[in-house]
Amino acid sequence: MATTIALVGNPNSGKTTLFNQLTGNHQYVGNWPGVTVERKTGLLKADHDVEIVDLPGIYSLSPYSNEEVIARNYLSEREATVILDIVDASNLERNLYLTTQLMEFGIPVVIALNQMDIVKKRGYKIKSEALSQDLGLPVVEISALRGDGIEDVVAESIKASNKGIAPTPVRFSQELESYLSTIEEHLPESVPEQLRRFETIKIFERDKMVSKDITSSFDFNEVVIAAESEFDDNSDAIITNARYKYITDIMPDIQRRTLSGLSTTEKIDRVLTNRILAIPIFVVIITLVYFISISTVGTYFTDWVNDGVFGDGWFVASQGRVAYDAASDDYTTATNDISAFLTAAEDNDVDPDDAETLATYIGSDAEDDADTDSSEYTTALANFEAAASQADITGETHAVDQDTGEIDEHSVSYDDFLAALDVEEPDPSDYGPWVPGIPVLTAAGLAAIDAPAWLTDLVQNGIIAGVGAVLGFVPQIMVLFFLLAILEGTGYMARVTFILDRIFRRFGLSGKTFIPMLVSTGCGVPGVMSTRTIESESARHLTIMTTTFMPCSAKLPIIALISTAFFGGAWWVAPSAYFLGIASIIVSGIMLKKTRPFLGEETPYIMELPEYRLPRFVDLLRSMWERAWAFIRKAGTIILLATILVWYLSNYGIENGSYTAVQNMDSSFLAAFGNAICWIFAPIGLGNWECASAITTGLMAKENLVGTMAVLYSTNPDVAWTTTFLQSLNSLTMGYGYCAAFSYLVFNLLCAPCIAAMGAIKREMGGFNKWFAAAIGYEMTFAWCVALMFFQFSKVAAGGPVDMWFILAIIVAAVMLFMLFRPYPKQQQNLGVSSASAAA
Amino acid sequence: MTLNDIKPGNSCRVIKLHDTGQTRRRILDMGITRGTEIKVNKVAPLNDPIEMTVRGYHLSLRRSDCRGIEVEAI
Repeated sequence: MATTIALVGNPNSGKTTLFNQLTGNHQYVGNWPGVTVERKTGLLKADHDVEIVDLPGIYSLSPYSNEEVIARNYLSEREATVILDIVDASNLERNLYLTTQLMEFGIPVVIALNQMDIVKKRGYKIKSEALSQDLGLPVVEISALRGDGIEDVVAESIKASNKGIAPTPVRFSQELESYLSTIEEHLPESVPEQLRRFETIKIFERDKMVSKDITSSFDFNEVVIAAESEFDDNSDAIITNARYKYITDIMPDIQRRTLSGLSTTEKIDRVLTNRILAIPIFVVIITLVYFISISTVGTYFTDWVNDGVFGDGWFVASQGRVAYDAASDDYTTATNDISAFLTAAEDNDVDPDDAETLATYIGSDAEDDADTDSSEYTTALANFEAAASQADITGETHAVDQDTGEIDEHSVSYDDFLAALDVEEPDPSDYGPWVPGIPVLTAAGLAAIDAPAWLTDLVQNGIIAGVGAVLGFVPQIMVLFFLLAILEGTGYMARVTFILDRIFRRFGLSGKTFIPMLVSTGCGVPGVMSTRTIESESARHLTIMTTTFMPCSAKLPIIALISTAFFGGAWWVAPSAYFLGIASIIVSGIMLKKTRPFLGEETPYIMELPEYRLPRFVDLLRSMWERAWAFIRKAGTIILLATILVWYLSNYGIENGSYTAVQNMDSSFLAAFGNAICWIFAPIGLGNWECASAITTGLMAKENLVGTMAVLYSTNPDVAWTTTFLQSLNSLTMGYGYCAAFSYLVFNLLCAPCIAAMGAIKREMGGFNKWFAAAIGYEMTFAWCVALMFFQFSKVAAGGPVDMWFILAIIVAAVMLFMLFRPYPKQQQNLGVSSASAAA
Repeated sequence: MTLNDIKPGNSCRVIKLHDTGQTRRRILDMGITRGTEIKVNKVAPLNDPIEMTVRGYHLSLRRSDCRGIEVEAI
């Protein structure tokens, strides 16, 4: 008979470590159907016929939390042939409370007594033989951390599974047992022998999950009410009391307390949760996490993936990169200078023919390399230099850096022009050992097999550009999750909630919401994924829905662009973006907390502050890898498809009446799509297809926004595209282009995040379900409403006309104020709780 | 007297739980049952929640939930 071991235990009992020890690399992580709690199964390292199911860490089997319901349902399905109960020896009473419940499922139970070393350190003594004798269960002392006793516990489990003898459930006081036996006697015959005790207790506790098959003419409730009046307590409290009473009665046999000074944990907590020091220390720790994962180490590797692996290539040594980047920037500036000077020459009629000829050579080998002999180029250059040196002309550059959104404007004299001509395009191989990137390699490969142009474009600009941009986040995610795993593994994360609960629960959020918010200022993907650590379901949903309001690093170019192009680089634009993000989270938290899905679900804050411990390095790596892998898998599936779709839409369309690969983006399907939806953006001042299309490509990756707009608005070569952009906004809004520009910034900051982050939201919400739809729908609606208010109010304040959209903006503002300040609707307790508390 | 009234450093014994529903059940599951001894250790930097020792481990509860736990000082 095949053996299935169900691993059950309290949170922090060392369950994960034991699971990793048992299964090695043979494990599979997934979600439990319909919920976001992780489901892990694995095969025993030593014997692949033994399956191990890791159930969520739980304190009890009451039907109130997701984790507990899952564990209970799994055990009731009786797929497990043996329960391996991990008991934290340093916290015996509370751990054994769960054990007494596990003994009622009619499945053999084996106890793994973990963390005996802590017990010894604290000067306790625990007699595992006495524990085994009292409970009638096999008990094995283990150290999951060091791997001691693992073989023994496996052997005991397999033995128990083969024997298949159900444990004898613990008995309570005589008075209580007499009530219980009355219930048990009246259970229908159909209830199997092994489950009679379990069902009896569930009926007594008025548990809503009691088996539906139990129908009896006997009025069980009468018995329960009689017991409640005798014990002067609720029935479930009577049972809980009885279980703990049983445990405290056997404790003297098992544990002898010899000494108890300040434990190490208490010493650490004197500092870390100190009334004065706690918050400053928290700020320092979180800042460190942020800087390591988002700003420094993580970004270093992410840049490497983006510019190296999925870019031109990378240097083996980093000094080469720095030198090359500098040279490369110089070269870009030089090229811009040359073209600015040539444009100026053309405009001033200084040898315009030669200037035009030279312009076609900018960036070519002939311009860079004096040895390349091109008579047309050299002749044109000689003529032009002769003419230009006599004339007094200066060029004006206008270049937008697509990475930062910064605008470079300066004048170019004739001498600058000559100097710029001497700047050569740097060859990366001159700057140290150089490895070409994937696009370079695939380009060579595609050329070698004579691939058609469309296929090359699809692979290079569609798939590699899109999936590469998403995979670029992987290093940041890995570093971040490694650090979060340390915070979780050591036990500090529980303290974070302790310190911040007071602030965040006002907004329906958890103390741990701070971490996703902060991480999202770097990247929304790890931000959304780090909501995993929030235990309250409703706080987690709320955090997932709102955390991407924080401006992530990919939104910085938009902020910089709007601020430099429209507001003269005003200092207040960037901080206002962060302020807007924080305000949006708080406002959304208060508003949504008063709506039905979040009502009555105030999850109690009852938090164990576990012992501090040093986590195992391999467990940290595994935790990091599991989360990163979930992300990588997504990049390979849904994001790949979406990338191909957007590439197709922007490259194909109807040109001159026939379906073709388009030359200009304005005849693409993307433009047609933009035209079809741009009416939505008219009230916020952005009602043309260019804006709509840019917003659509922004959903791919926010850094696309600036690039797309640069392409779409570069229609007039004589003026900067940002000027064209402002002109078009002005004509759309009857002269209030600045208001529209700010509305554009607001909308793009707040609307649904990029596809990678949406993928993360989908995963954390548990699939394409109503929660996912609610999150994306809410973000879009909220962004539109806020942009509407910004645009309409600023327009009217600047003397603009009052129209129906302005009226709508006032209505929106009124509704939001109402939702913010209305009292909490009457607390409707959800059904599960009210039925259980009916007795209270 | 409720658990909320106990000052850090002092101990008490549980008389009765007055909360209802999910919160009460959770508190029970964590081992706060009739007669259990609780030592209040400290309060969080913002005065809420409270940290205590129950059955040999550290637990933290909000003040609002502590008000539902009737205790006697010891």
